[in-house]
Amino acid sequence: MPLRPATFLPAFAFFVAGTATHAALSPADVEFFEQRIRPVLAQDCYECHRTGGKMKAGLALDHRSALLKGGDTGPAVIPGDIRNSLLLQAIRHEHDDLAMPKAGAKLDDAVIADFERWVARGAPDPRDAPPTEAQVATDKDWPAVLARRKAWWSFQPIRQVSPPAGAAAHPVDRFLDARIAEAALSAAPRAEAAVLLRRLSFTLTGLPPEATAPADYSGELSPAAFAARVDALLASPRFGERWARHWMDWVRYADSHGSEGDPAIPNAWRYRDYLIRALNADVPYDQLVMEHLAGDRLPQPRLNPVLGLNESALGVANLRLVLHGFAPTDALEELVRFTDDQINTVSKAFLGLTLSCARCHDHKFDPLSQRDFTAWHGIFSSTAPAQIAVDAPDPGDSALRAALRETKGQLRSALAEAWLADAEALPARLASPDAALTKSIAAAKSAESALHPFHLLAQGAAPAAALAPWRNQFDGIARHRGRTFPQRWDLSQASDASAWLRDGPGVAAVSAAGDFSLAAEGDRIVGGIHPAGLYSHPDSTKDRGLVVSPRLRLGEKYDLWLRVSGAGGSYARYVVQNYPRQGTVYPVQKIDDLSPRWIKQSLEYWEGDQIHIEFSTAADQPVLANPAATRSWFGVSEVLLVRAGDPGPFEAWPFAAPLLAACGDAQTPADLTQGFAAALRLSLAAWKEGRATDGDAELLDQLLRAGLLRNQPAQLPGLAPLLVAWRTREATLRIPTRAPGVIEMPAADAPLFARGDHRQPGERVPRRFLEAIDATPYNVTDSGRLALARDLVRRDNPLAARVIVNRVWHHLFGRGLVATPDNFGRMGELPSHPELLDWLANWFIEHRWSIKALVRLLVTSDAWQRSSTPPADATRRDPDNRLLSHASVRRLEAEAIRDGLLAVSGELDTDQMSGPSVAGNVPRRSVYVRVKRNDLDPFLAAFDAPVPAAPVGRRDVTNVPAQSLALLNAPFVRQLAERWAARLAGDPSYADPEARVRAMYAAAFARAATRDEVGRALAFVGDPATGSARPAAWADLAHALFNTKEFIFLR
Amino acid sequence: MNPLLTRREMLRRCSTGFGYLALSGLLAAPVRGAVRPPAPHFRPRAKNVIFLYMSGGVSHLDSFDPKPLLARLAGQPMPAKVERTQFNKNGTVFPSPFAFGRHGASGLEISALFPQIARHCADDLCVVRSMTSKVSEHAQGNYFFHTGFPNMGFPSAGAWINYGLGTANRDLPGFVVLQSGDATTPHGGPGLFGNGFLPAQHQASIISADRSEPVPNLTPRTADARQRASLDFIRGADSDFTLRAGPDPQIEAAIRNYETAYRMQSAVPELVQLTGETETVRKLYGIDDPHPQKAAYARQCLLARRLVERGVRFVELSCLNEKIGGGNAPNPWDQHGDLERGHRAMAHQVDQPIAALLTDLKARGLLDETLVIWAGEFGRTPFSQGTNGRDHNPYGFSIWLAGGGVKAGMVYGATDELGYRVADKPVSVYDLWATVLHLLGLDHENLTYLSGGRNYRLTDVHGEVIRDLIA
Repeated sequence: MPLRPATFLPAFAFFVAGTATHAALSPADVEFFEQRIRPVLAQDCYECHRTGGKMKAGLALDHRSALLKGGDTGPAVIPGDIRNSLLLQAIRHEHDDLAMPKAGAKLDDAVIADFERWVARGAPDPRDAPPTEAQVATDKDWPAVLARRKAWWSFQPIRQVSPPAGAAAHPVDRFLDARIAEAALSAAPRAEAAVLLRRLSFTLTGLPPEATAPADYSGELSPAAFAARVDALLASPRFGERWARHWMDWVRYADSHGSEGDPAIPNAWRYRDYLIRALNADVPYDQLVMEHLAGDRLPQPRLNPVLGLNESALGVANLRLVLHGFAPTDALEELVRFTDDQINTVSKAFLGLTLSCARCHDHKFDPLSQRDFTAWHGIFSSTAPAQIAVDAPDPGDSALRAALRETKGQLRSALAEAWLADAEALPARLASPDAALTKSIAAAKSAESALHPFHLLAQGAAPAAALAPWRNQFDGIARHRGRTFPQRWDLSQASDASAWLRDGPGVAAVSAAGDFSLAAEGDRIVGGIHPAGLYSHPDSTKDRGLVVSPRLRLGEKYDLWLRVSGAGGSYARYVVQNYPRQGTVYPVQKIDDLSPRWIKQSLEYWEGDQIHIEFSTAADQPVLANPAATRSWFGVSEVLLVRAGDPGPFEAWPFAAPLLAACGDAQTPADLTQGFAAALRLSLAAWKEGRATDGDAELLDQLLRAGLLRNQPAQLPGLAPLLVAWRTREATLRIPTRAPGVIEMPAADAPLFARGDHRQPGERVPRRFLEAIDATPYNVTDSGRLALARDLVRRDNPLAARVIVNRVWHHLFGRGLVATPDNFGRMGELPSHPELLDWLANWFIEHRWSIKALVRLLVTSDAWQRSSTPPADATRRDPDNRLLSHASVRRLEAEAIRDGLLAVSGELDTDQMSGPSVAGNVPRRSVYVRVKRNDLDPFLAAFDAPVPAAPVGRRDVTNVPAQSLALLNAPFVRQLAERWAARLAGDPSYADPEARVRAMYAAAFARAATRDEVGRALAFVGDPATGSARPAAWADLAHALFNTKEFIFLR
Repeated sequence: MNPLLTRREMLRRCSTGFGYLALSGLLAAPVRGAVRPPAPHFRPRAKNVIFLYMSGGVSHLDSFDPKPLLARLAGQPMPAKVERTQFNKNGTVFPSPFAFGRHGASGLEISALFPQIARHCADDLCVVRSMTSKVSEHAQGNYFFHTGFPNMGFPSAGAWINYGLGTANRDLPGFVVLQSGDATTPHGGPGLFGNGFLPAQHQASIISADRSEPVPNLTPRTADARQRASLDFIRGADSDFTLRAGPDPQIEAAIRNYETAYRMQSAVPELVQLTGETETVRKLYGIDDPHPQKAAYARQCLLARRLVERGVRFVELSCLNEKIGGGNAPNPWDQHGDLERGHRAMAHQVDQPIAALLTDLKARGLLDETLVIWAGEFGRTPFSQGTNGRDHNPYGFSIWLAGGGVKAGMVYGATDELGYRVADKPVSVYDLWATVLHLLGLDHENLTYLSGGRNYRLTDVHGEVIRDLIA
């Protein structure tokens, strides 16, 4: 509370001399200065007003004589004179051009009062000389700053408060009415029924009321009837659609990543649908917040048995709604920026804090340090972008897979038997090849083909020479044995594979050599027979597979070698600093090789950066995923780093080993064909018994592809029952449901970046919550997301409940109790009703964080139901209506305007409540309209739908000609008017023009038309010459009603 | 309602025209920052800005920064450390295929790419050869050049300037982006011209200079008499509603908005149709040039003059695509290959129209108060990409300024002998905008807006006014 000058002036007037030396100060003066004054001067003023420093306006405030001497505009302090001391005028913001601290929040009233008391006491100041660097450092020390800043209201515990006494039955009204009475205002009466019902319907569901009969709007509305209406609207699926859109504002929802190319965020819409379901189901808010950070890691996730979804895991998608630059040459900068995007969103949306402002230095105003930002940075950057599987565990899945594998085992035996016969026929077939085989042999120009010797024979080589390329290659193996690589993973070995993250039923375990896949459809039985490695598809090509390496820092210039196979659009890539897009210096390889092949990618460019290596099925890349790709697969057996310029890995051609062994010193072509047959028999035996080598597997695979092993169902009719059984079962296997998310990477604390410069990493900061609440480092081995999720909603965190209660209030009343819903810090606004805010926060927590209960509580208050006509004096005494003596008139949001147009014209399709986002001309609710960052829907954008770059808790409400032009001239709007008119014209109950006019007013405004209005509307549609309506007149009327202010405003 | 806006001020703000004049955050206006009287901080040298944006990145080495050393090193490996490039297809030293000459009394060096500018305007140009950017990719580079931040979500320079100075013509928007032909928004999208967190009235209006509907939804779908009747009907209904809802400035503003919209329907086409321009002027710009891209760009240049004549604060022009060597509609100057042919075509498109614009502005006495900025988002490498293209180079490149209080016929700063990096007097994007704001009478450190808990500037926390550029 500011002190009045009169209180102190007389008593201290004599003290004006102001020459008190340090020695003359009383201990009480010194203590007052040290505790109340020095920290503020040091922390808020020295930056610009320090001896030897910037000395702005020639003023230093760092010792007594400088303070008294003042700057360009005179002494800063006149001891004893709290009215004329410039310092006090400046901190009281008495002059627009002298408001201090500059570019910062005004100091707390209590601090200003301290300064007034200090000046009134004669400004006792023990500082004889400018402070030393060390003294300033101590005064500005973060712990000292933090201690002071933690006193800010929003960091104080939520108080247990009771509603004040009062006549009102509703506790919320008692809080509000007390303040209205204090201001000697009266409250507006309850709004009329029609106004109330329209307000209620739009506020809760974003749509006009459904009632059609004008009579519905004229009657009385009892509190019981109103409450019933509230319950009905809360139970409507439209509620979730409306409130999900609010939530999407808080988390900057978008369907694309922005920048050059503006690629889609695959499956982002699943997160939108998740919000709609969650809000309709009234899932407790604290649960939803936890899901937003770590829904994929909750011990007991929320499962949706109807849709077969792990609902909780879908919450994580918000972390992937980030902006992504295109092909940044500085990948680390991009990583820091998009991690900052995540931190900015989470801290603003759920805590009302601007933690992003502490990225380069401690926060300028709030108790948030750069170490806080860095602690969170460690948490978020210990993950990597991904598409994650969000299916609920399917209880039948393991039995189905067991059955599939059993059938597959039976097929293996049956195939091995059948192929023994092919081995018998092999010498003859090779000796006198048919047309197809002749072609294959002619094509086998490379020694990587098993038919290569016959190719050489056909070219006239001697049998011994036909095997020479293989022999030479095998001689080379010995020379390469023992070669070491900077990094090598043999992913056919469980020991190496276990260091990699593997997600998907196939890649969970290493597949042994000879594991094979079956074709789910078409004219083949076996898809392929594979050497050992990690494969996504032992059960099915529907299965997803994700295989991710540990992180690697590229200390020098390397080449990357990957031995992979795959088809259907699977990916093999390296990922620099988590950057998930592709383009120019971010190459991504689609795997298109049925047999294993080495792929090389140069890493030279990225020397010094951190990368990881990633293999995935087609629908499982964080950005590049093709959601329509239902079948794809890959296998990987080896990954190598080679110093740039060094030779690549030695290709061992495993398939040739059994052939060379069996062919021995083949002298004649017959020796060769017999040798091939012998090798085949041995490999088949080994394969059947499950002891195949990579060589056996690759040999069988090659012969299969060459048509030397029968692989068509028609060729092997005996296998039909097994194949059909397998295919029938495989068809029932679920296609995994993917959603944007993150995967856990090896966790690491992030370094403090000097002045935010990511090229200057400093000490590492432990992953933890905010030190203003709890500075204990997380004792976790994972990223810490789950711990952070729990901290966000822990009971002693006073922000979470206050922030959401305020957001709900904002959307119901048009303005929050805190008018800056995303900022509860010093640069935000103070709560208009702090006790009410705390009472509501407690009430909300006690009512299991139920948003619907909170909405019901608030809209059933008298305050919410008041008329918008201001009571006497309210406009003058409370022009901002912060006391809520009446309802504030509001323009509808963009979505409500568009949805209203669709609903009123009868075009709105509300049946479909899920699925990919749609174009703006599709007659579905706006929450389903695509949010493409570089191509925002022009109609919605004109009416202030937010730009999805950062959380928007409170939208702008602008008035620009683009709005009038859209409603007047946009073809979409005109078309709706025409359809509406046509619909009414076709309805016999509205054959009478007057009845039709009344129906239109009822639909557009949810009230009965006045007689005057009916008259004017009839005159508008009537042709004065003939007395009858022009064909387009009714469409013109409909169009005109769309353009009335009543259509887009809520009172 | 916002207590800071009096009813009188509300009406003043609402009754104004075409511009995207907004009542920002009326229901819940930010108390700090939103409302500040638009007035310059000190005496301005310029009133308007015309921004000739060469999207895609013009090669400084082939236009305004001659490097004879490149010819001597032609075909050799770069004799200096090479930073990461966008395509990593670095070739050898690539001399300019264009001859340079000295022009005008000032002897300013300009290549054969721009014969008209060289002949008529050399002594008007203030060439900065030491420009730098932080970004070597188009979208982020465009955002950085327009907003001072390399991503969407921040106000464009044109929006800041309108926020700082207010509009000078209540019937036109203060920030216009011109497009014609196939010209489109550079990579990054319309957010490049956005108001960011500033009130919406400061965002750019994109005017399609040669379309029948230059602004979306401008064309009435019914005959004028019928529309007038509809508007009368609407007005009647609105009066009733105002009575029922009580006096509310937002509703009144929305009502007046319709009058503005109605006027715009005829005013904008009139402006765009170049009525009243003489044949001489049309010829000077090349409005009827047989080369369609050049004619389309000429139309933008002439319209830019018409707009600044009418007090529009900031006009940005958009190049058209010649479809050569990596150039696409959003980045037509982007010759990763076929640089000689591509740059020749692009320069031919803009040379005469720009020379005409400067000449015309000067003849009408407008050049003194109009600052013309010619720049792309970065320059290009002195070594080749592949055999005959150049990759992006943000480490040193050239832009020029003209009119509006800058020195004429001068060169500022320098790149190294290879034209790769700045060697003398580096100028950042922050410095450029600090200087531009200064010329407009605005102190870049005091042109701030509170958003998300922080006071933002066009120049972030950087930027120095380059006083040597100021006449």
